[in-house]
Amino acid sequence: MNAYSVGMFVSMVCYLTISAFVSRKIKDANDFYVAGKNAPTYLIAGSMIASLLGTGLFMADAAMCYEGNFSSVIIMIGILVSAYIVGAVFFGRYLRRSNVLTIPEFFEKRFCSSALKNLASVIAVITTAAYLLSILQGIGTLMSAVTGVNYNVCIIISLSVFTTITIASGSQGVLITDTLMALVFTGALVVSVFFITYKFGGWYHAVGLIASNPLSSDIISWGGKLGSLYDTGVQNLGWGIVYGLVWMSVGMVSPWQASRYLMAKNEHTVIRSAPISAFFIFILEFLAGMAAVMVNIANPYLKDSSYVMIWASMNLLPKVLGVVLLTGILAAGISSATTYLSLIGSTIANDMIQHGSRGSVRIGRLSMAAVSGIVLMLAIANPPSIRWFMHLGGSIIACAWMPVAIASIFSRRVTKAGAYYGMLVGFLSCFCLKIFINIKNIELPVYLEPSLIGMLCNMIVLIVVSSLSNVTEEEKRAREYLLRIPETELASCEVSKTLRWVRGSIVVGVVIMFVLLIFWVLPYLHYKYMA
Amino acid sequence: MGELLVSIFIGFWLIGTGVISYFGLKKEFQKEKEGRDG
Repeated sequence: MNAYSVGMFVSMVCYLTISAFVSRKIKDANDFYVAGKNAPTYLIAGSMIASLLGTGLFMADAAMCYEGNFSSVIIMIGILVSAYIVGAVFFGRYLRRSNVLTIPEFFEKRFCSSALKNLASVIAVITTAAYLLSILQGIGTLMSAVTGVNYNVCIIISLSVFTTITIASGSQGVLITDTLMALVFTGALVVSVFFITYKFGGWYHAVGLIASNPLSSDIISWGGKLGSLYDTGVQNLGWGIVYGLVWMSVGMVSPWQASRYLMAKNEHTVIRSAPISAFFIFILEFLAGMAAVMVNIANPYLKDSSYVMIWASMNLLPKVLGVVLLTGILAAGISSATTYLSLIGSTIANDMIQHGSRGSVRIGRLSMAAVSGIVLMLAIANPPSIRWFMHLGGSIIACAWMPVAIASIFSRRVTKAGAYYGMLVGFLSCFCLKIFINIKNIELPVYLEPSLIGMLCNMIVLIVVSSLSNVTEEEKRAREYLLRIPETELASCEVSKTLRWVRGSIVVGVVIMFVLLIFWVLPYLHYKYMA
Repeated sequence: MGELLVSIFIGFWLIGTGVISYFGLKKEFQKEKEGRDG
Protein backbone atom coordinates (compact mmCIF):
# COMPACT_ATOMS: atom_id res chain seq x y z
CA MET A 1 0.00 0.00 0.00
CA ASN A 2 1.61 3.31 -1.07
CA ALA A 3 1.26 6.75 0.57
CA TYR A 4 -1.47 7.78 -1.93
CA SER A 5 -3.59 4.73 -1.05
CA VAL A 6 -3.19 5.45 2.68
CA GLY A 7 -4.27 9.10 2.14
CA MET A 8 -7.35 8.05 0.18
CA PHE A 9 -8.26 5.36 2.71
CA VAL A 10 -7.92 7.72 5.68
CA SER A 11 -10.03 10.41 3.96
CA MET A 12 -12.80 7.89 3.18
CA VAL A 13 -12.85 6.73 6.82
CA CYS A 14 -13.15 10.39 7.92
CA TYR A 15 -16.15 11.03 5.64
CA LEU A 16 -17.84 7.81 6.84
CA THR A 17 -17.31 8.82 10.48
CA ILE A 18 -18.82 12.26 9.90
CA SER A 19 -21.83 10.79 8.10
CA ALA A 20 -22.35 8.26 10.95
CA PHE A 21 -22.39 11.17 13.38
CA VAL A 22 -24.85 13.20 11.25
CA SER A 23 -27.14 10.20 10.68
CA ARG A 24 -28.17 10.33 14.36
CA LYS A 25 -29.86 13.67 13.70
CA ILE A 26 -32.17 12.38 10.95
CA LYS A 27 -35.72 12.35 12.31
CA ASP A 28 -38.04 12.52 9.30
CA ALA A 29 -38.32 12.82 5.50
CA ASN A 30 -37.77 16.57 5.69
CA ASP A 31 -34.39 16.06 7.40
CA PHE A 32 -33.44 13.20 5.09
CA TYR A 33 -34.34 14.78 1.76
CA VAL A 34 -34.02 18.54 2.22
CA ALA A 35 -31.83 18.87 5.35
CA GLY A 36 -34.79 20.19 7.36
CA LYS A 37 -34.95 23.21 4.97
CA ASN A 38 -32.63 24.95 7.37
CA ALA A 39 -29.20 25.02 5.68
CA PRO A 40 -27.15 28.24 5.99
CA THR A 41 -25.47 30.08 3.10
CA TYR A 42 -22.03 28.48 3.45
CA LEU A 43 -23.43 24.91 3.35
CA ILE A 44 -25.56 25.65 0.27
CA ALA A 45 -22.61 27.27 -1.53
CA GLY A 46 -20.21 24.49 -0.44
CA SER A 47 -22.56 21.78 -1.65
CA MET A 48 -23.20 23.53 -4.98
CA ILE A 49 -19.46 23.82 -5.60
CA ALA A 50 -18.79 20.22 -4.56
CA SER A 51 -21.64 18.72 -6.58
CA LEU A 52 -20.59 20.45 -9.82
CA LEU A 53 -16.84 20.04 -9.50
CA GLY A 54 -16.20 16.32 -9.53
CA THR A 55 -14.03 14.16 -11.70
CA GLY A 56 -15.37 16.26 -14.59
CA LEU A 57 -13.15 19.14 -13.48
CA PHE A 58 -10.05 17.19 -12.51
CA MET A 59 -10.15 14.69 -15.36
CA ALA A 60 -12.34 15.78 -18.30
CA ASP A 61 -11.86 19.58 -18.24
CA ALA A 62 -8.21 19.29 -17.20
CA ALA A 63 -7.66 16.89 -20.13
CA MET A 64 -9.19 19.39 -22.57
CA CYS A 65 -6.92 22.16 -21.27
CA TYR A 66 -3.85 19.92 -21.47
CA GLU A 67 -4.72 19.05 -25.09
CA GLY A 68 -4.92 22.72 -26.05
CA ASN A 69 -8.48 23.92 -25.47
CA PHE A 70 -7.94 26.17 -22.46
CA SER A 71 -9.74 29.13 -24.01
CA SER A 72 -12.79 27.01 -24.99
CA VAL A 73 -13.04 25.58 -21.47
CA ILE A 74 -12.63 28.95 -19.77
CA ILE A 75 -15.31 30.64 -21.92
CA MET A 76 -17.66 27.70 -21.23
CA ILE A 77 -17.08 28.05 -17.47
CA GLY A 78 -17.42 31.84 -17.62
CA ILE A 79 -20.89 31.49 -19.12
CA LEU A 80 -21.78 28.53 -16.88
CA VAL A 81 -21.07 30.28 -13.57
CA SER A 82 -23.52 33.07 -14.44
CA ALA A 83 -26.18 30.36 -14.00
CA TYR A 84 -25.66 30.48 -10.25
CA ILE A 85 -26.64 34.14 -10.08
CA VAL A 86 -29.42 34.12 -12.68
CA GLY A 87 -30.64 30.68 -11.54
CA ALA A 88 -30.90 31.69 -7.87
CA VAL A 89 -32.72 34.97 -8.60
CA PHE A 90 -35.04 33.83 -11.43
CA PHE A 91 -35.71 30.19 -10.47
CA GLY A 92 -34.16 29.04 -7.20
CA ARG A 93 -36.10 31.27 -4.82
CA TYR A 94 -39.44 30.36 -6.48
CA LEU A 95 -38.49 26.72 -6.12
CA ARG A 96 -37.71 27.25 -2.42
CA ARG A 97 -41.02 29.12 -2.05
CA SER A 98 -43.02 26.23 -3.52
CA ASN A 99 -42.32 24.19 -0.36
CA VAL A 100 -41.71 20.86 -2.09
CA LEU A 101 -39.19 18.05 -1.56
CA THR A 102 -38.12 17.56 -5.21
CA ILE A 103 -38.16 19.47 -8.52
CA PRO A 104 -40.59 17.03 -10.23
CA GLU A 105 -42.95 17.80 -7.33
CA PHE A 106 -42.49 21.51 -8.12
CA PHE A 107 -43.68 20.89 -11.70
CA GLU A 108 -46.65 18.92 -10.39
CA LYS A 109 -47.65 21.67 -7.97
CA ARG A 110 -47.18 24.48 -10.50
CA PHE A 111 -49.09 22.81 -13.35
CA CYS A 112 -51.45 20.69 -11.23
CA SER A 113 -50.38 17.66 -13.25
CA SER A 114 -49.13 14.34 -11.90
CA ALA A 115 -48.33 13.22 -15.49
CA LEU A 116 -45.81 16.06 -15.72
CA LYS A 117 -44.31 15.04 -12.38
CA ASN A 118 -43.94 11.43 -13.57
CA LEU A 119 -42.22 12.53 -16.78
CA ALA A 120 -39.89 14.90 -14.91
CA SER A 121 -39.07 12.10 -12.43
CA VAL A 122 -38.11 9.63 -15.16
CA ILE A 123 -35.90 12.28 -16.79
CA ALA A 124 -34.33 13.14 -13.42
CA VAL A 125 -33.51 9.50 -12.65
CA ILE A 126 -32.07 8.76 -16.13
CA THR A 127 -29.89 11.88 -16.28
CA THR A 128 -28.71 11.68 -12.69
CA ALA A 129 -27.85 8.00 -13.07
CA ALA A 130 -25.89 8.77 -16.28
CA TYR A 131 -24.00 11.47 -14.43
CA LEU A 132 -23.42 9.19 -11.42
CA LEU A 133 -22.00 6.55 -13.76
CA SER A 134 -19.54 9.05 -15.24
CA ILE A 135 -18.44 10.09 -11.74
CA LEU A 136 -17.98 6.48 -10.64
CA GLN A 137 -15.92 5.72 -13.74
CA GLY A 138 -13.77 8.75 -12.97
CA ILE A 139 -13.25 7.74 -9.32
CA GLY A 140 -12.43 4.14 -10.37
CA THR A 141 -9.92 5.33 -12.97
CA LEU A 142 -8.29 7.67 -10.44
CA MET A 143 -8.05 5.13 -7.62
CA SER A 144 -6.85 2.36 -9.89
CA ALA A 145 -4.13 4.53 -11.46
CA VAL A 146 -2.91 5.74 -8.09
CA THR A 147 -3.09 2.58 -5.99
CA GLY A 148 -2.44 -0.03 -8.68
CA VAL A 149 -5.49 -1.95 -7.41
CA ASN A 150 -7.87 -3.47 -9.97
CA TYR A 151 -10.41 -0.97 -11.43
CA ASN A 152 -13.40 -3.10 -10.39
CA VAL A 153 -12.19 -3.35 -6.79
CA CYS A 154 -11.71 0.43 -6.73
CA ILE A 155 -15.23 1.19 -7.93
CA ILE A 156 -16.70 -1.29 -5.43
CA ILE A 157 -14.82 0.42 -2.56
CA SER A 158 -15.72 3.97 -3.64
CA LEU A 159 -19.34 3.04 -4.37
CA SER A 160 -19.64 1.42 -0.92
CA VAL A 161 -18.31 4.61 0.70
CA PHE A 162 -20.57 7.12 -1.06
CA THR A 163 -23.61 4.83 -0.86
CA THR A 164 -23.09 4.38 2.89
CA ILE A 165 -22.70 8.14 3.42
CA THR A 166 -25.85 8.91 1.44
CA ILE A 167 -28.03 6.13 2.86
CA ALA A 168 -26.98 6.81 6.45
CA SER A 169 -27.14 10.57 6.64
CA GLY A 170 -29.29 11.73 3.69
CA SER A 171 -29.14 15.34 2.50
CA GLN A 172 -28.11 16.55 5.95
CA GLY A 173 -24.92 14.49 5.79
CA VAL A 174 -24.40 15.16 2.09
CA LEU A 175 -24.46 18.94 2.71
CA ILE A 176 -21.88 18.70 5.50
CA THR A 177 -19.55 16.19 3.81
CA ASP A 178 -19.90 18.08 0.49
CA THR A 179 -18.80 21.33 2.13
CA LEU A 180 -15.88 19.63 3.91
CA MET A 181 -14.83 17.94 0.66
CA ALA A 182 -15.10 21.29 -1.18
CA LEU A 183 -12.74 22.78 1.41
CA VAL A 184 -10.35 19.82 1.00
CA PHE A 185 -10.15 19.97 -2.79
CA THR A 186 -10.09 23.78 -2.92
CA GLY A 187 -7.17 23.93 -0.49
CA ALA A 188 -5.37 21.04 -2.18
CA LEU A 189 -5.77 22.56 -5.64
CA VAL A 190 -4.71 26.08 -4.69
CA VAL A 191 -1.55 24.92 -2.88
CA SER A 192 -0.68 22.38 -5.59
CA VAL A 193 -1.09 24.83 -8.47
CA PHE A 194 1.20 27.36 -6.89
CA PHE A 195 3.70 24.60 -6.11
CA ILE A 196 3.61 23.38 -9.73
CA THR A 197 4.16 26.90 -11.04
CA TYR A 198 6.96 27.45 -8.47
CA LYS A 199 8.67 24.37 -9.92
CA PHE A 200 8.66 26.06 -13.34
CA GLY A 201 10.10 29.32 -11.98
CA GLY A 202 6.90 31.04 -10.82
CA TRP A 203 3.51 31.72 -12.42
CA TYR A 204 4.63 34.27 -15.04
CA HIS A 205 7.72 32.32 -15.99
CA ALA A 206 5.62 29.16 -16.45
CA VAL A 207 3.13 31.05 -18.68
CA GLY A 208 6.15 32.43 -20.54
CA LEU A 209 7.56 28.93 -21.15
CA ILE A 210 4.24 27.88 -22.71
CA ALA A 211 3.73 31.11 -24.69
CA SER A 212 7.24 31.47 -26.09
CA ASN A 213 7.53 27.89 -27.32
CA PRO A 214 6.06 27.66 -30.87
CA LEU A 215 5.05 24.04 -30.18
CA SER A 216 2.94 24.93 -27.15
CA SER A 217 1.93 28.59 -27.52
CA ASP A 218 -1.43 27.73 -29.16
CA ILE A 219 -2.51 25.76 -26.09
CA ILE A 220 -3.48 28.93 -24.23
CA SER A 221 -4.21 31.13 -27.25
CA TRP A 222 -7.77 32.39 -27.84
CA GLY A 223 -8.45 29.81 -30.56
CA GLY A 224 -6.67 26.89 -28.89
CA LYS A 225 -4.61 24.21 -30.58
CA LEU A 226 -6.18 23.70 -33.99
CA GLY A 227 -7.31 20.17 -34.70
CA SER A 228 -7.60 19.03 -31.08
CA LEU A 229 -11.30 20.01 -30.98
CA TYR A 230 -12.16 21.71 -34.28
CA ASP A 231 -10.02 22.90 -37.18
CA THR A 232 -10.44 26.65 -36.66
CA GLY A 233 -10.14 28.96 -33.66
CA VAL A 234 -13.61 30.41 -34.28
CA GLN A 235 -15.15 26.93 -34.13
CA ASN A 236 -13.27 26.19 -30.91
CA LEU A 237 -14.60 29.38 -29.35
CA GLY A 238 -18.05 28.56 -30.73
CA TRP A 239 -17.86 25.24 -28.87
CA GLY A 240 -17.09 27.12 -25.65
CA ILE A 241 -20.03 29.48 -26.11
CA VAL A 242 -22.52 26.76 -27.12
CA TYR A 243 -21.53 24.43 -24.28
CA GLY A 244 -21.42 27.40 -21.91
CA LEU A 245 -25.06 28.19 -22.74
CA VAL A 246 -26.08 24.54 -22.41
CA TRP A 247 -24.32 24.20 -19.05
CA MET A 248 -25.72 27.52 -17.92
CA SER A 249 -29.18 26.01 -18.45
CA VAL A 250 -28.06 22.94 -16.52
CA GLY A 251 -26.72 25.08 -13.67
CA MET A 252 -30.00 26.99 -13.44
CA VAL A 253 -32.47 24.11 -13.25
CA SER A 254 -30.67 20.76 -12.97
CA PRO A 255 -31.72 18.59 -10.02
CA TRP A 256 -28.15 18.33 -8.72
CA GLN A 257 -27.84 22.12 -8.52
CA ALA A 258 -31.34 23.54 -8.01
CA SER A 259 -32.22 20.90 -5.38
CA ARG A 260 -29.71 22.64 -3.06
CA TYR A 261 -32.12 25.60 -3.00
CA LEU A 262 -34.80 23.39 -1.46
CA MET A 263 -32.51 22.84 1.53
CA ALA A 264 -31.83 26.55 2.11
CA LYS A 265 -32.95 28.22 5.35
CA ASN A 266 -34.85 30.90 3.39
CA GLU A 267 -34.90 32.68 0.02
CA HIS A 268 -32.18 35.09 1.11
CA THR A 269 -29.87 32.12 1.67
CA VAL A 270 -30.58 30.92 -1.88
CA ILE A 271 -29.53 34.26 -3.35
CA ARG A 272 -26.54 34.86 -1.07
CA SER A 273 -25.00 31.48 -1.88
CA ALA A 274 -24.93 32.38 -5.61
CA PRO A 275 -21.93 34.76 -5.88
CA ILE A 276 -19.85 32.50 -3.61
CA SER A 277 -20.53 29.44 -5.79
CA ALA A 278 -19.94 31.38 -9.03
CA PHE A 279 -16.63 32.84 -7.87
CA PHE A 280 -15.13 29.63 -6.46
CA ILE A 281 -16.24 27.42 -9.34
CA PHE A 282 -14.64 29.77 -11.86
CA ILE A 283 -11.40 30.19 -9.92
CA LEU A 284 -11.03 26.45 -9.32
CA GLU A 285 -11.64 25.68 -13.00
CA PHE A 286 -9.13 28.37 -13.98
CA LEU A 287 -6.47 27.02 -11.62
CA ALA A 288 -7.02 23.37 -12.61
CA GLY A 289 -6.99 24.33 -16.31
CA MET A 290 -3.78 26.32 -15.96
CA ALA A 291 -2.13 23.51 -13.96
CA ALA A 292 -3.05 21.04 -16.70
CA VAL A 293 -1.67 23.41 -19.36
CA MET A 294 1.62 23.73 -17.44
CA VAL A 295 2.08 19.97 -17.30
CA ASN A 296 2.92 20.38 -21.02
CA ILE A 297 6.23 21.95 -19.95
CA ALA A 298 7.30 18.79 -18.13
CA ASN A 299 5.51 16.15 -20.18
CA PRO A 300 3.76 17.04 -23.46
CA TYR A 301 3.33 13.37 -24.44
CA LEU A 302 0.86 11.88 -21.95
CA LYS A 303 -0.88 8.88 -23.54
CA ASP A 304 -4.21 9.49 -21.84
CA SER A 305 -4.74 13.17 -21.13
CA SER A 306 -7.49 12.50 -18.55
CA TYR A 307 -4.65 11.37 -16.24
CA VAL A 308 -2.99 14.80 -16.41
CA MET A 309 -3.77 15.88 -12.82
CA ILE A 310 -2.96 12.40 -11.50
CA TRP A 311 0.39 12.54 -13.31
CA ALA A 312 1.05 16.02 -11.91
CA SER A 313 0.23 14.85 -8.36
CA MET A 314 2.62 11.91 -8.59
CA ASN A 315 5.45 13.54 -10.55
CA LEU A 316 5.49 17.29 -9.98
CA LEU A 317 4.56 17.60 -6.32
CA PRO A 318 6.30 16.51 -3.13
CA LYS A 319 4.76 13.25 -1.89
CA VAL A 320 2.77 14.84 0.95
CA LEU A 321 1.24 17.45 -1.34
CA GLY A 322 0.60 14.83 -4.03
CA VAL A 323 -1.31 12.76 -1.48
CA VAL A 324 -3.33 15.84 -0.48
CA LEU A 325 -4.18 16.71 -4.11
CA LEU A 326 -5.20 13.15 -4.99
CA THR A 327 -7.27 12.97 -1.81
CA GLY A 328 -8.85 16.26 -2.91
CA ILE A 329 -9.67 14.86 -6.37
CA LEU A 330 -11.19 11.79 -4.73
CA ALA A 331 -13.20 14.08 -2.42
CA ALA A 332 -14.49 15.99 -5.47
CA GLY A 333 -15.67 12.72 -7.04
CA ILE A 334 -17.27 11.33 -3.88
CA SER A 335 -19.01 14.61 -3.04
CA SER A 336 -20.64 14.73 -6.48
CA ALA A 337 -21.61 11.06 -6.25
CA THR A 338 -23.34 11.53 -2.87
CA THR A 339 -25.39 14.41 -4.30
CA TYR A 340 -26.53 12.39 -7.32
CA LEU A 341 -27.35 9.28 -5.32
CA SER A 342 -29.37 11.21 -2.74
CA LEU A 343 -31.30 12.87 -5.58
CA ILE A 344 -32.15 9.56 -7.22
CA GLY A 345 -33.38 8.12 -3.91
CA SER A 346 -35.40 11.23 -3.20
CA THR A 347 -37.03 11.23 -6.66
CA ILE A 348 -37.92 7.54 -6.56
CA ALA A 349 -39.30 7.65 -3.01
CA ASN A 350 -41.21 10.92 -3.23
CA ASP A 351 -42.25 11.20 -6.87
CA MET A 352 -42.44 7.67 -8.20
CA ILE A 353 -43.59 5.59 -5.24
CA GLN A 354 -45.13 7.58 -2.40
CA HIS A 355 -45.21 10.92 -0.59
CA GLY A 356 -43.82 12.15 2.76
CA SER A 357 -43.97 10.05 5.94
CA ARG A 358 -41.40 7.90 7.67
CA GLY A 359 -41.91 5.12 5.08
CA SER A 360 -40.58 7.47 2.44
CA VAL A 361 -37.13 7.51 4.11
CA ARG A 362 -37.02 3.70 4.09
CA ILE A 363 -38.04 3.57 0.43
CA GLY A 364 -35.49 6.29 -0.40
CA ARG A 365 -32.72 4.26 1.27
CA LEU A 366 -33.74 1.07 -0.54
CA SER A 367 -33.90 2.95 -3.87
CA MET A 368 -30.42 4.34 -3.33
CA ALA A 369 -29.07 0.84 -2.62
CA ALA A 370 -30.80 -0.56 -5.73
CA VAL A 371 -29.58 2.24 -8.00
CA SER A 372 -26.05 1.85 -6.61
CA GLY A 373 -26.17 -1.84 -7.59
CA ILE A 374 -27.30 -1.01 -11.16
CA VAL A 375 -24.70 1.74 -11.58
CA LEU A 376 -22.02 -0.63 -10.24
CA MET A 377 -22.88 -3.24 -12.89
CA LEU A 378 -22.79 -0.60 -15.63
CA ALA A 379 -19.47 0.76 -14.35
CA ILE A 380 -17.96 -2.75 -14.32
CA ALA A 381 -18.97 -3.04 -17.98
CA ASN A 382 -16.92 0.19 -18.19
CA PRO A 383 -18.45 2.01 -21.15
CA PRO A 384 -15.86 4.40 -22.61
CA SER A 385 -15.76 8.17 -22.37
CA ILE A 386 -16.53 9.81 -19.05
CA ARG A 387 -17.12 13.12 -20.79
CA TRP A 388 -19.80 11.72 -23.11
CA PHE A 389 -21.94 10.43 -20.23
CA MET A 390 -21.48 13.67 -18.35
CA HIS A 391 -22.62 15.73 -21.34
CA LEU A 392 -25.51 13.36 -22.02
CA GLY A 393 -26.95 13.91 -18.53
CA GLY A 394 -26.43 17.67 -18.67
CA SER A 395 -27.77 18.08 -22.20
CA ILE A 396 -30.98 16.17 -21.49
CA ILE A 397 -31.74 18.30 -18.43
CA ALA A 398 -31.11 21.51 -20.38
CA CYS A 399 -33.41 20.39 -23.23
CA ALA A 400 -36.20 18.88 -21.17
CA TRP A 401 -36.41 21.09 -18.10
CA MET A 402 -34.97 24.54 -18.73
CA PRO A 403 -37.63 26.09 -21.03
CA VAL A 404 -40.46 24.61 -18.93
CA ALA A 405 -38.91 25.71 -15.63
CA ILE A 406 -38.44 29.32 -16.76
CA ALA A 407 -41.88 29.46 -18.42
CA SER A 408 -43.46 28.09 -15.24
CA ILE A 409 -42.46 31.31 -13.46
CA PHE A 410 -42.53 33.98 -16.14
CA SER A 411 -45.23 32.93 -18.60
CA ARG A 412 -48.92 33.54 -17.98
CA ARG A 413 -49.88 31.54 -21.07
CA VAL A 414 -48.02 28.27 -20.57
CA THR A 415 -50.38 25.37 -19.87
CA LYS A 416 -49.93 21.92 -18.37
CA ALA A 417 -50.27 20.33 -21.84
CA GLY A 418 -47.67 22.74 -23.28
CA ALA A 419 -45.29 22.00 -20.40
CA TYR A 420 -45.76 18.22 -20.71
CA TYR A 421 -45.27 17.96 -24.46
CA GLY A 422 -42.48 20.56 -24.47
CA MET A 423 -40.59 18.55 -21.85
CA LEU A 424 -41.23 15.25 -23.64
CA VAL A 425 -40.14 16.53 -27.07
CA GLY A 426 -37.09 18.30 -25.59
CA PHE A 427 -36.02 15.08 -23.85
CA LEU A 428 -36.62 12.73 -26.80
CA SER A 429 -35.08 14.98 -29.46
CA CYS A 430 -31.87 15.49 -27.49
CA PHE A 431 -31.58 11.89 -26.27
CA CYS A 432 -32.22 10.32 -29.69
CA LEU A 433 -29.93 12.77 -31.52
CA LYS A 434 -27.09 12.23 -29.04
CA ILE A 435 -27.35 8.44 -29.31
CA PHE A 436 -27.68 8.55 -33.13
CA ILE A 437 -24.67 10.82 -33.54
CA ASN A 438 -22.60 8.64 -31.23
CA ILE A 439 -23.54 5.36 -32.95
CA LYS A 440 -23.03 6.73 -36.46
CA ASN A 441 -19.93 8.66 -35.37
CA ILE A 442 -21.16 11.81 -37.11
CA GLU A 443 -19.41 15.13 -36.56
CA LEU A 444 -21.88 18.03 -36.62
CA PRO A 445 -20.96 21.71 -36.83
CA VAL A 446 -20.87 23.27 -33.40
CA TYR A 447 -24.07 25.32 -33.95
CA LEU A 448 -26.01 22.08 -34.58
CA GLU A 449 -25.25 20.74 -31.10
CA PRO A 450 -28.16 18.40 -30.13
CA SER A 451 -28.68 20.28 -26.85
CA LEU A 452 -29.48 23.49 -28.73
CA ILE A 453 -31.81 21.63 -31.10
CA GLY A 454 -33.50 19.95 -28.12
CA MET A 455 -34.06 23.26 -26.31
CA LEU A 456 -35.42 24.83 -29.50
CA CYS A 457 -37.82 21.88 -30.07
CA ASN A 458 -38.98 22.15 -26.44
CA MET A 459 -39.67 25.89 -26.80
CA ILE A 460 -41.56 25.50 -30.10
CA VAL A 461 -43.77 22.70 -28.74
CA LEU A 462 -44.27 24.58 -25.46
CA ILE A 463 -45.52 27.69 -27.32
CA VAL A 464 -47.64 25.85 -29.93
CA VAL A 465 -49.36 23.43 -27.53
CA SER A 466 -49.92 26.18 -24.92
CA SER A 467 -51.56 28.35 -27.58
CA LEU A 468 -53.92 25.46 -28.43
CA SER A 469 -54.94 24.84 -24.82
CA ASN A 470 -56.18 26.98 -21.91
CA VAL A 471 -54.69 27.86 -18.56
CA THR A 472 -56.98 26.52 -15.84
CA GLU A 473 -57.98 28.49 -12.74
CA GLU A 474 -55.93 26.24 -10.47
CA GLU A 475 -52.82 26.68 -12.64
CA LYS A 476 -53.36 30.44 -12.48
CA ARG A 477 -53.63 30.27 -8.68
CA ALA A 478 -50.52 28.09 -8.45
CA ARG A 479 -48.50 30.66 -10.41
CA GLU A 480 -49.89 33.57 -8.39
CA TYR A 481 -48.84 31.78 -5.20
CA LEU A 482 -45.29 31.44 -6.55
CA LEU A 483 -45.08 35.12 -7.47
CA ARG A 484 -46.11 36.35 -4.02
CA ILE A 485 -43.09 36.98 -1.78
CA PRO A 486 -43.84 35.53 1.69
CA GLU A 487 -44.12 38.04 4.52
CA THR A 488 -41.23 36.33 6.33
CA GLU A 489 -38.87 37.19 3.45
CA LEU A 490 -39.63 40.92 3.49
CA ALA A 491 -37.76 42.16 6.57
CA SER A 492 -36.10 45.33 5.25
CA CYS A 493 -32.68 44.66 6.82
CA GLU A 494 -32.58 41.18 5.21
CA VAL A 495 -33.74 42.58 1.85
CA SER A 496 -31.00 45.24 1.77
CA LYS A 497 -28.39 42.67 2.86
CA THR A 498 -29.47 40.33 0.05
CA LEU A 499 -29.38 43.18 -2.51
CA ARG A 500 -25.81 43.89 -1.37
CA TRP A 501 -24.92 40.23 -2.08
CA VAL A 502 -26.39 40.51 -5.59
CA ARG A 503 -24.33 43.69 -6.13
CA GLY A 504 -21.43 41.50 -5.01
CA SER A 505 -22.10 39.24 -7.99
CA ILE A 506 -21.35 42.22 -10.28
CA VAL A 507 -18.05 42.61 -8.42
CA VAL A 508 -17.41 38.88 -9.04
CA GLY A 509 -17.58 39.61 -12.80
CA VAL A 510 -15.09 42.47 -12.47
CA VAL A 511 -12.70 40.40 -10.32
CA ILE A 512 -12.85 37.43 -12.70
CA MET A 513 -12.09 39.69 -15.67
CA PHE A 514 -9.02 41.09 -13.88
CA VAL A 515 -7.89 37.60 -12.81
CA LEU A 516 -7.97 36.53 -16.46
CA LEU A 517 -6.15 39.67 -17.61
CA ILE A 518 -3.44 39.56 -14.94
CA PHE A 519 -2.81 35.82 -14.79
CA TRP A 520 -3.45 34.77 -18.39
CA VAL A 521 -3.82 37.43 -21.07
CA LEU A 522 -1.12 39.98 -20.20
CA PRO A 523 1.69 37.50 -19.42
CA TYR A 524 0.73 35.41 -22.47
CA LEU A 525 0.79 38.38 -24.85
CA HIS A 526 3.98 39.71 -23.25
CA TYR A 527 5.93 36.46 -23.69
CA LYS A 528 4.47 35.61 -27.09
CA TYR A 529 5.04 38.94 -28.84
CA MET A 530 7.49 40.99 -26.80
CA ALA A 531 9.93 38.73 -25.01
CA MET B 1 -5.36 39.89 -29.01
CA GLY B 2 -8.26 37.43 -29.15
CA GLU B 3 -7.32 36.42 -25.58
CA LEU B 4 -8.09 39.98 -24.46
CA LEU B 5 -11.52 39.82 -26.11
CA VAL B 6 -12.25 36.45 -24.48
CA SER B 7 -11.52 37.75 -20.98
CA ILE B 8 -13.48 40.98 -21.59
CA PHE B 9 -16.39 38.95 -22.95
CA ILE B 10 -16.44 36.72 -19.86
CA GLY B 11 -16.16 39.72 -17.54
CA PHE B 12 -18.96 41.64 -19.23
CA TRP B 13 -21.15 38.55 -19.46
CA LEU B 14 -20.89 38.09 -15.70
CA ILE B 15 -21.32 41.80 -14.98
CA GLY B 16 -24.37 41.86 -17.30
CA THR B 17 -26.07 38.88 -15.65
CA GLY B 18 -25.29 40.43 -12.24
CA VAL B 19 -26.87 43.75 -13.27
CA ILE B 20 -29.99 42.05 -14.69
CA SER B 21 -30.36 39.97 -11.53
CA TYR B 22 -29.86 42.97 -9.25
CA PHE B 23 -32.44 45.19 -10.95
CA GLY B 24 -34.87 42.28 -11.42
CA LEU B 25 -34.74 41.47 -7.73
CA LYS B 26 -34.86 45.09 -6.60
CA LYS B 27 -37.90 45.78 -8.77
CA GLU B 28 -39.71 42.75 -7.40
CA PHE B 29 -39.02 43.65 -3.77
CA GLN B 30 -40.18 47.24 -4.42
CA LYS B 31 -43.35 46.09 -6.20
CA GLU B 32 -44.21 43.72 -3.38
CA LYS B 33 -43.57 46.40 -0.74
CA GLU B 34 -45.68 48.97 -2.61
CA GLY B 35 -48.45 46.40 -3.09
CA ARG B 36 -48.57 45.68 0.63
CA ASP B 37 -48.29 49.35 1.67
CA GLY B 38 -50.90 50.51 -0.81
